Amino acid sequence: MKLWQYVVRRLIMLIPVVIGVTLITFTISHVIPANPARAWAGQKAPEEVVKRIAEKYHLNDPLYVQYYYYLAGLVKGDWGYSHSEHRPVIACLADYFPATFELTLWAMMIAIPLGIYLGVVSAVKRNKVPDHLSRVFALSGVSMPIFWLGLLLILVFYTYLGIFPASGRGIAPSHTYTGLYILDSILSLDFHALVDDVWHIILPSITLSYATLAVITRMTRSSMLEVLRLDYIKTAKAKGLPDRVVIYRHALRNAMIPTLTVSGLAFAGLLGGAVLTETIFSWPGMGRYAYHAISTLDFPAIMGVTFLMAVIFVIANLIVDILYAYLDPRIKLGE
Amino acid sequence: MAENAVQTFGSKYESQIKEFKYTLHLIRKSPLTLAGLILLILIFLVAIFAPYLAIDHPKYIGGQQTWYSDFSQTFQPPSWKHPFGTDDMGHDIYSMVIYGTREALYVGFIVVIVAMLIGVILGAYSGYVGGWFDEVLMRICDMFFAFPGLILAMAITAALGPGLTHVMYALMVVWWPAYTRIVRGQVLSVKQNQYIEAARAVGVSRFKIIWRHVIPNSLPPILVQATMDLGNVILTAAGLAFLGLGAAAYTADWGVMVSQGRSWILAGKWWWSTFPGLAIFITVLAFNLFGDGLRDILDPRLRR
Repeated sequence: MKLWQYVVRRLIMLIPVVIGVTLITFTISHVIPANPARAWAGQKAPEEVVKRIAEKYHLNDPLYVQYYYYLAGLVKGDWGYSHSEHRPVIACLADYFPATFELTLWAMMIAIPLGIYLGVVSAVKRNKVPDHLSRVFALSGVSMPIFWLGLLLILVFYTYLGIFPASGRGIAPSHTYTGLYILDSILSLDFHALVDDVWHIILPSITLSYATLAVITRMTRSSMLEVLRLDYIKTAKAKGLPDRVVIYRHALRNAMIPTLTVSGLAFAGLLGGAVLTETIFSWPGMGRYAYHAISTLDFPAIMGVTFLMAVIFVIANLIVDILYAYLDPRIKLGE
Repeated sequence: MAENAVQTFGSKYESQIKEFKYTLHLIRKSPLTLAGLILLILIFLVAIFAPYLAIDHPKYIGGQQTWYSDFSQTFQPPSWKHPFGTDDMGHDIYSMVIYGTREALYVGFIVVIVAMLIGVILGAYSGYVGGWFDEVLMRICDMFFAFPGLILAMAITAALGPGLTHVMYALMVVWWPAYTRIVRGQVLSVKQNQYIEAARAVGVSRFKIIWRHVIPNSLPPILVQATMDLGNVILTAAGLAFLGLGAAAYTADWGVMVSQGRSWILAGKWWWSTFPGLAIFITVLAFNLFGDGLRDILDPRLRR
């Protein structure tokens, strides 16, 4: 099977997964709440609004009818009305998505290279001081409450040292192309905005990346240890190749494959972490939107964020699967 | 007579006792695992002896936890009188952090035990019997795996309404599929063993085979997972509390305390958020250190 055939197949396999996601979000939004119409309309909404909502979303019909209208709504872009923002949920999500995307992208760009580097060092210097340090660093990363780390960074770098700002995304670039501030400010040659935006993203992206960095470090370490034991590494060393070449060219290539899988799974932590990080740093993304939705009991907004985040996570894992097939020639596609 | 009983016990379980002693020996030899174990013991001692360690104690008015407010003592920085300082109502943060240990462990253990029980029952049955039941159950698990855990828990808690009990329900819903999958995988590999075949050949019932032979032999990796998950559950519960979905304000809940203190960080009043956050960090770290070490120690490939 060719790669493009594999991609098409994986895309088709996506359909049942997305249906599964909608079954769960449907259950959470239509079955669990004591009074779904009240939940959708908002706790403070007058009685006639609740009635209108119940009618509009067919909430008094049997569940399978409700599910049909729910699916139809999702497909048509009617994801409910966000009463905290007085506009449709989908419009809010479209506004907030780029900020979250930019933040997670930067967090990945910190976590992946640094995590791989620390993992390699840890494996090569096994049971020596650098290994112990990097293991403690990694275990701390998976144990640290992300919101607490964010607060500590604000305390040190904003309150006491005054180096970095503590909230927001910085100045909006003069032109919008992608919604990603840093990329847009480069594209529109707005260097004033560029400096400010980079300055603003440093603390939130470090906060968000730490847990993922830790996961990647641990995985790289253990898969490097497996690979370094193999015969072909011994052969490479015996041939007199320099350590650098053996480690980075020969060993790391094969050790990367489990690391890649873990990076895909760690993306879930990144999305969850984004909610907490954005709340701490008042980062105007989907996570902060969800936080506001919780405090204003804006239920359609919470469900919208939940559904979109699940879809993003599913797509991220699809990309990882395809990269996986592309990188590892031993994987027989289609088996 | 008693001596005799001890002897029989000793000889009957000789190999198990030997294994256990060897495990203890391995724990002693691994500094990080030992550090985790010591931390865990200390944390449990704090939880048990909280009434003796704390300066102030909660009162329960109509089931609602309340703490003594001293408005002449608001926002006191850490001192001998208030080791972790006080909050905006003059509550002693140290005492609340100490009592918070109980709540964190309670949430962790209940959620993990329930999720594990569901996972063991469904996973063992599914793995042993296979067929359409297995197929359907695995597809249901896949549905749950499509969500980031914190996000799913957030949505469920929001649908149920905020509160600690609802947070725990939500976490159980998030965590059971992982156990089901692990147990099922274990059962599939244990099932291949000849002693299972032998038991079936002599006519032992299906239930008895699963209960007496399959489950006990698939336990070690499940216990390692449970140890690490105790930390993860506490961490996720704290995240939900931080988002305003957990316990009420001014209760001895670490996540709630970090959340309430956070707006004061900018004003330099750092202690309200810092100490409860540190408590979460140390507790989760202890479970992870111990669980991580335990995995290597219980792994039969690395054991000898």
